[in-house]
Amino acid sequence: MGRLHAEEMILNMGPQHPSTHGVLRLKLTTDGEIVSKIEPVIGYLHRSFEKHAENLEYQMVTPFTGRCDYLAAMGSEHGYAMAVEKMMGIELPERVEYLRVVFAELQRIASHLVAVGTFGLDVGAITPFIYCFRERELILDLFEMASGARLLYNYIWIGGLAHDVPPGFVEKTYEFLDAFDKRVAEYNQILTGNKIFIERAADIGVMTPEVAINYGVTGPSLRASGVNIDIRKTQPYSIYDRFDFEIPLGEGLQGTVGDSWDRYYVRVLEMLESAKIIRQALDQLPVEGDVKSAIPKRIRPPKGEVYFRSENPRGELGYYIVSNGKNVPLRVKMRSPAFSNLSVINEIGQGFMISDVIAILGSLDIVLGEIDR
Amino acid sequence: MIQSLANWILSFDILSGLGYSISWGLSLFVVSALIFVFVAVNAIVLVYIERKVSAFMQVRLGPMRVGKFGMLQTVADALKLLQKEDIIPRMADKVLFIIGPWTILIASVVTFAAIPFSETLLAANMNIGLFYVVSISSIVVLGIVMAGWASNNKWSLYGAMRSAAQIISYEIPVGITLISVVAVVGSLNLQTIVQAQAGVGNLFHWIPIPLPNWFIFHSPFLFLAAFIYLIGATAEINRTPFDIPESESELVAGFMTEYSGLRWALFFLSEYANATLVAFLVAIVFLGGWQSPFADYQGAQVALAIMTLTAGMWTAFVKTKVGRLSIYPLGLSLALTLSAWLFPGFAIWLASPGLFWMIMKAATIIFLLMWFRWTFPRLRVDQLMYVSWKVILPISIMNLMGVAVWMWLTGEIQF
Amino acid sequence: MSYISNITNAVGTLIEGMKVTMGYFVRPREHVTLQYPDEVWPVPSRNIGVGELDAYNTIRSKLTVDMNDCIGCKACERACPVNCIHIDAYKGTPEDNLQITSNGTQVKLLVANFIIDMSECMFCDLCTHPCPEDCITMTPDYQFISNDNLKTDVTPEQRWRDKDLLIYQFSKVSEEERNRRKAEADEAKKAKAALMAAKKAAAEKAAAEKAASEQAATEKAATPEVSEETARAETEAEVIKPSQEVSPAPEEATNPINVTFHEKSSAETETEPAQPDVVTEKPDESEDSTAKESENG
Repeated sequence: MGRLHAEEMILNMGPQHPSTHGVLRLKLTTDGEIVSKIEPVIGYLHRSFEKHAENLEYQMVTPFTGRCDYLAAMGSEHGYAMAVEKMMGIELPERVEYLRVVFAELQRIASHLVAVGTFGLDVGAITPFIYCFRERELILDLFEMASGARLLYNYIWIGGLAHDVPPGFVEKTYEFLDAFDKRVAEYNQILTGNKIFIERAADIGVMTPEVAINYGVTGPSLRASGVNIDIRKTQPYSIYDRFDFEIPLGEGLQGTVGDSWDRYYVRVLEMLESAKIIRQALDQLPVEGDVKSAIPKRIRPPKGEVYFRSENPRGELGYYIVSNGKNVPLRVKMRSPAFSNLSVINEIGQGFMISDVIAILGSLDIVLGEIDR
Repeated sequence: MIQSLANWILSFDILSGLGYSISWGLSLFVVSALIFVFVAVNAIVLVYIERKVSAFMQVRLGPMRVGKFGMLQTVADALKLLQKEDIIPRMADKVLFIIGPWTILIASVVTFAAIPFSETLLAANMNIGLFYVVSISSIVVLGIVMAGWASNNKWSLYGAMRSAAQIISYEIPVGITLISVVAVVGSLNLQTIVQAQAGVGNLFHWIPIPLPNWFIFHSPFLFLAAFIYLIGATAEINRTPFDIPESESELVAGFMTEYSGLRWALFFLSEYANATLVAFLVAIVFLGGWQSPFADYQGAQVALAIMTLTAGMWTAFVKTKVGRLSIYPLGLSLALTLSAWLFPGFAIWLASPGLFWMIMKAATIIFLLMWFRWTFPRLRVDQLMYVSWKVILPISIMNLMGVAVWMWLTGEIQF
Repeated sequence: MSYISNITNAVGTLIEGMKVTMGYFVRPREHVTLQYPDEVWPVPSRNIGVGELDAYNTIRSKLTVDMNDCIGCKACERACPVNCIHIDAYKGTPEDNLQITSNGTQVKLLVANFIIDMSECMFCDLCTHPCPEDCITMTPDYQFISNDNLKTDVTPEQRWRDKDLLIYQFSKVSEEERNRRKAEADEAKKAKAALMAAKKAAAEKAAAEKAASEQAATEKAATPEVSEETARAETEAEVIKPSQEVSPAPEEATNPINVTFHEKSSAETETEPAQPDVVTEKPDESEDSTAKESENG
């Protein structure tokens, strides 16, 4: 009698699947429920952002950047605007800087709310997802108040903002922040501390610091592995050096450092830190100042190239822009954090079950729009 | 019930010529039809309630557009499902694909034959009723495996395999917890089990709190057994947190992935039929079935007054602390109490056993199941097995022994 | 021991979670659902800080243009990243009865056709900012699927299916007039092209002659003559494209990316979007026509 022969089965997860967060396809090689190989197949959402950017004027690229990471459009716009400003050497008014920080951090909270909620959804808890979206709606209301749009804003322009914030915005933001801490406590009560949730997330998809760094993982996923790299602290851009905030790191409270639960919890803590930053920024916000005063009449950066990186909700968002001195960029390359974050899934997901792969994917918090661009 | 119906039919002069066997067959048909109608209507009502409950828990409104408060939404959905195209995948095993859902439905419907809805409302008074219910309801897994295999879809297959493993594992602790009740009663007849819970007695035999003689208050062990049974039953009927065979975010829809239209509706029907069955079984075995919780009408009046008082205190407490609460619970209990005190007939009706109490108890259990579903994440396959074999099974075995010891201590049995 | 604490911990945390959901269940009035057709999201309509007009609203939705104010400068057309705005503007004649905008600018061009393709629009709001007259605006009207556009007798379902039904046309000019102007413009264009061809032939001839005779002096004299003629032809043409007056730089014209991929010519992209000065000043060149228009009005 020979050994029992077991064949591996290839399972196509996606592009149409409830929890691949968009149109991602994962080719899973499975042995029973155990996954031995994960092969992400991307490109289903490719919209040729970089080629578009080569044919549009600098300001016209901004709406397209928001469409890459559509859950964090403010962050994408912020990074792009800062990259072009760095090329042109534009000094921004104080009010613009503060408002940009407020919007970027509000966007970080909104994006993390989606990440936290959908992670809950991936492990089967439907209700926290809806609570998270309720709070996200409030943030989107704030964005709508300022920019007029709820998802794709085109609000942060090169050299300033599209409009100044309307009267009542600051008060409404304070109102949101006051209520927000209680809501986070609620999430912790229903999801974070839940024993089933901990069992599903702790010790699952452990990403060691070495693996994370080797794969170029950035953002909360990297910090959950205990690596203290946050561009807001290490290379402060904009005016982040003026604020007092902590960088939450994964501590392995429920399992190993760098597991899915840590990645989830770092996001929860980051939301609270972002709320702290917004509070400080609103406290220090200069009342006077024309947000459009520094917008250049003619955006024509000098010949040369620039690489500018900023801390997006999903990680390090880099823009590499080459200018040949004209009003159209020669090349815009976007270093998207979710792309690198996704590439690590084969490394950390091997040997886990199908359910765990879903949980790991959810904890990495990818946005396909940004991966495929 | 069939017996009495047959006799009733024969009691008419015109029909007396039918003969007993034909009359019996006719009654059998009527009763089966009644049960099927009950299951169908029950599913429609429960889907609506589930959607409303989930909506309220999730700060939503739920269906609101068809009928008043969306009450006809599920009727509309059912009609839509009946009209949908009947799709059988080309590579599917046609025979199994078709009989799979029917197997599940039949298995879940026929179990209702042994459920005593009231003292007289019982299709078949079997002396092995409990055994019958448990054994027939486990045929469901056969249908699930059929459906999963026949779909020729990897997701369906995963769902079916998970379901088979899960249901078989949870049969054991569920069976053992039920045996601990059988040990107390000494009978497998569900009617006898209900009748054994009549009257009012002390909590856990010694603690002087007057509570109904239900088995959940019989001993700490049976109290625990009720919850273990509930957990095991939740797993058996594939509801969250044990809904891994159809876990939406992992297996798309599990064994139901390839089904649509009427066949899919059958799955839904049997899912809610199973949930109802479990609720009835908990009510019968642990909560006294169709017995009233009140000993007599004075007991009902006093109990309702205490309930109103508690509700009032709780409402006041929450109002001052949180500041937002609907006063409907308080109002409802106040109205009940007032009517019970003013109209003794109402109190007498409350204190008498009947279908009302059976349905109330089952509704409570179903609400509990819904509450679970809309709160918890889902367990993983191996964790599910862990919970079954390493947590629930040992506890249920200990419970069984504990019940025996308890009965010896209280003098219910002597050696 | 950890076995038992595990179980108690599990039960405890699960009950914690159930408290939250039950908390919301007993106060269902806190729902956030909006019963859409009956209740609609309150759309605050207010000025958010740009200009004096109340035209910029909180919600960026359907793009509309006030044809009474449009001067046909095409700043919005150039600013649009997705080319969803198409403007046909012709040089105004006294018969066109051109008005003065609410900003007090005399309209000089007859805007025969102003087409907004809402199926292409990506609601980026970039077109409204360069407008010198604040006449193109994003309105808070997000239910524009039922508003009138090019074809009015269609059902909403057809609109969803057919992208053409989302093309909105704004014009104060009649269909015949528009066609006539278009024909005139085409004719002028053709004439210009013929002129250009003739000049080119002449230049070629001259070049051939030059090659034959090898005289450098004639070559120098011929070139400026050609460019002067071209410029004159352009101003005579009735299609006014201010951007085209900037002659394209040779290396940009040969840039394969710009030419092949982007619809606009490199010359158009070269002019910056927010440059209304060029256009607003242009109609003021002839003051007598302004006076005539105001008399007519």
